[in-house]
Amino acid sequence: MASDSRRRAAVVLVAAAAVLAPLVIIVYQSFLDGPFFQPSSKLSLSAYRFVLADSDFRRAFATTAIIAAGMTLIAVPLGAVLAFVVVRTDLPGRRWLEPALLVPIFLSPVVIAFGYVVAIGPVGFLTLPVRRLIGRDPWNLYSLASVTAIAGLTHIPHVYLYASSTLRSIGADLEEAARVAGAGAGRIALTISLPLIAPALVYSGVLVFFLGFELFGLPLILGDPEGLLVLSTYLYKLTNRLGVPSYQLMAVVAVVIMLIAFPLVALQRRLLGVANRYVSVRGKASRSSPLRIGAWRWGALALVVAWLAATVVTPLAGVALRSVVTTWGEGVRLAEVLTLDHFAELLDYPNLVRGIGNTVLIGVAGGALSVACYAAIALATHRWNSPWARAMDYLAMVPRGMPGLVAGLAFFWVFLFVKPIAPLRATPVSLWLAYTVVWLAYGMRLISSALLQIAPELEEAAYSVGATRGRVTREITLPLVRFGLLGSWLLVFLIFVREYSTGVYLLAPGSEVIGSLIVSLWGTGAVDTVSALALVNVVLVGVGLAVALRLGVRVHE
Amino acid sequence: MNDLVVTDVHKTLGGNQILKGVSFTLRRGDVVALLGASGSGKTTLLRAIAGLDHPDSGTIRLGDVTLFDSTKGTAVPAERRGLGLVFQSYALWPHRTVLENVKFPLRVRRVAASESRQRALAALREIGLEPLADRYPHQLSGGQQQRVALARAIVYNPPLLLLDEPLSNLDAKLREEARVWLRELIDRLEISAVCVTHDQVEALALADRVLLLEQGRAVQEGTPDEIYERPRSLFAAEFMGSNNRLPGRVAEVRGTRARVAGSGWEVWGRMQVEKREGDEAIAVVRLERVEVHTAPGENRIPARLESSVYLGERWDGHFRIGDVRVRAWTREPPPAGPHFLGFAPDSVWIF
Repeated sequence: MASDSRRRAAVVLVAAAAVLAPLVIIVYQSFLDGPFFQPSSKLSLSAYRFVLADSDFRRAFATTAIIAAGMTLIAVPLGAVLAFVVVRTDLPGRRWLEPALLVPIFLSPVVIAFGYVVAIGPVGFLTLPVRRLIGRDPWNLYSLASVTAIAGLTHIPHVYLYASSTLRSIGADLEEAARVAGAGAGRIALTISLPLIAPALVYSGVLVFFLGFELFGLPLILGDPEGLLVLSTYLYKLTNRLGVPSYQLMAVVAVVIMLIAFPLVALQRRLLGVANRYVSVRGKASRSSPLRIGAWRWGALALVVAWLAATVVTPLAGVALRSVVTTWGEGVRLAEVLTLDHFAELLDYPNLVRGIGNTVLIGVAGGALSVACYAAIALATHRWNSPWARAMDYLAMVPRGMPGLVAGLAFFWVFLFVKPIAPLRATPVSLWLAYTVVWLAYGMRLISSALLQIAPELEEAAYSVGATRGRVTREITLPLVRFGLLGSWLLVFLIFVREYSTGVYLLAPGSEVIGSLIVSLWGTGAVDTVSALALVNVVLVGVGLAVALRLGVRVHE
Repeated sequence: MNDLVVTDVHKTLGGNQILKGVSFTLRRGDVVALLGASGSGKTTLLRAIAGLDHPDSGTIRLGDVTLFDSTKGTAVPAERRGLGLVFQSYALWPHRTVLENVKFPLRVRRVAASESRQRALAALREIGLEPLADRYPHQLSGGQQQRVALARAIVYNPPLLLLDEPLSNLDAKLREEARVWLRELIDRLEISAVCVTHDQVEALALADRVLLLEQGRAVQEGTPDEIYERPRSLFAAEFMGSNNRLPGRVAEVRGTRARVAGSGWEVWGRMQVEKREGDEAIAVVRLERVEVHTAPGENRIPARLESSVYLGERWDGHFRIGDVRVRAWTREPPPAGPHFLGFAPDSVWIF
């Protein structure tokens, strides 16, 4: 048993190294007055002084806070309403709508933002007819309000996920009891369902607020034209502004972002326990008939469809349209500008071809490898009552406080700093490692929720007949969770294909992926290429999502 | 007046026929128990009466009011039926105190705040839990939760109380007390009640009438005494009580009685269904009706004692007659052999 504990501890130590190395290097760099690899760099607070005194930084900080608060106020109420009508009422077409509701989660924000530019930007295909109709600009896509609204609408699924799963786990008998007592649908929603899911709503509210501080793709594309900066785009632009890569300043901004993120992650963790307060309170699993809301259901359906049209159809239509036209703007006639050249051109650039190849590789093979790593960690701590297991629990939280952009930067430095692995920097390996660490908490949750579904007796029965731990893992635990592992692989594929910000700083010849290429090409104004790449990305996500749904993977986890 | 009349109710769920045409009538002030094994459709029937599920066809009437009629398309929603329902899981709202739980139906009915408080407290007094009014459900024991659920269901004086396995979540000792208490409460309130249960003892103790369900059909309806003492089918006979079962052939028919013979035994009993000589038949006799004798006599069969188990208030003797095992409950330990099992012809049912 001692060697078994040693093996488990070793797994935790390896994970700890991967998680803590980027964190340590960022904090260390932030206290230097030059790049960490320059021998002349000395310990100093000068970087902090510079950043905190910079008026652009302060503005970016305030803007970020406004957007994060605004999107939370939009996403939480709408997500709660969405969860109630989908889970509990006789909304027409619920079965078909359910998977569609989660699509925004798997779409890359850069792709969505780009799609919005084409659809409702100053010369968007929706803007132009409306302008002709009312004679003036109907909206300004590049304003703070627009960014906040879009961020809010695209984060509704995050709230929906938690609210709906909590609603499902709370026995319908609690609502039926209210019905029998004489309450109508509206009253039940307000006095029974809402208070019961309130903890889940608070939890998801904190999550959305926290994600607001991580926003990168949306403000990068939509905020740029009017000089709207948020913390992440401030970080991204630092290099350009000063002309030289000022590592210490970037590190300070990264530290600030993490200082905001960590307390929110810790708060979330506290809230998660509270969020499930009512879950154990349930009767026998009872099939429940949906609440009939009469004519309201058509209004509810219209609302859901309108939201899907605004957050999924509109931007995707924009991406698709822009990828098959040579140009788009005032007075352009669609029939005259149709082309498939953009896709053909992708093949002319080796870095783009590599980028697409790497994206698929990281998604499929990298995803499988990551799931294997997550499973190894989860199994190492599975039903292990030891300080090591608890430490792993906290370690998994660390990357949650590191937005992809920051984590990518940190890993870039790790690969510069640690000489033995330096040759791997410009290969997909560096990306894979960064992706795996960034999504550690998510992956671990996928695997552990699969593991926890196994009744302990099944494993205990194997121990009692004399099986060793390794054997129990191989012959009982793993076979029982194999569908869960397959599902996790698909979900990890989806998020890896979608990921863009983690690759931004790791972008080098050899380590391109679609997401980071879009970010860098957008900066150069290569809209044709961006649109073609964006569509390829959407198609990859679509294929993954279709396979997942086909196999009946619970996308909402 | 307030008769509940359920007529020919059918319900199919997920391709399974759950209810295949159930009818019954509940007289005002009566308690009827819907008794059956799991899958017999009893809970579905209760939910149909409550309005939480709608049947595919049939009618449900309460007094003059049609609650459900498939031919007319009438389906009064659950919240407008005004019935009381006690869930098997109790379904107490965990985010509300006991008092708030009980007050809720009154608030829905727009009863003034002070009055609804008084009435809720009165209902809690009725069930003996007034001192716990400000507790939360999870701070109560299972038995107390069950009482709160009951208070919540009766606080608005529903004409009909529906109980879904009301005692199944209580432990055995508590269940016996709750059974008596519940029956007394229903009598005191003078309301009608429909009670779903799989526990025959519960059904016999609580109900004025029992409706025995088997796979979506009502197989027998009657007073507890009728159901227990005069089963009309083999299913009804075997569902109730503990039984011996002797398969054989009808050797002789005399009026309502018949003699069934197996290998090395024969016994006289009462025909519950029409039988002719030579027909296959099963003789059923309750364990407590088997007499143990040490001498042969009328309608007695020699048997070999294999073992006997002391159960406290009785002895459980295991005998063998040929290839059939027969059990007998006796007050005293079985005497030393030889043994002859005696059967009063009226307590042996032949199917």
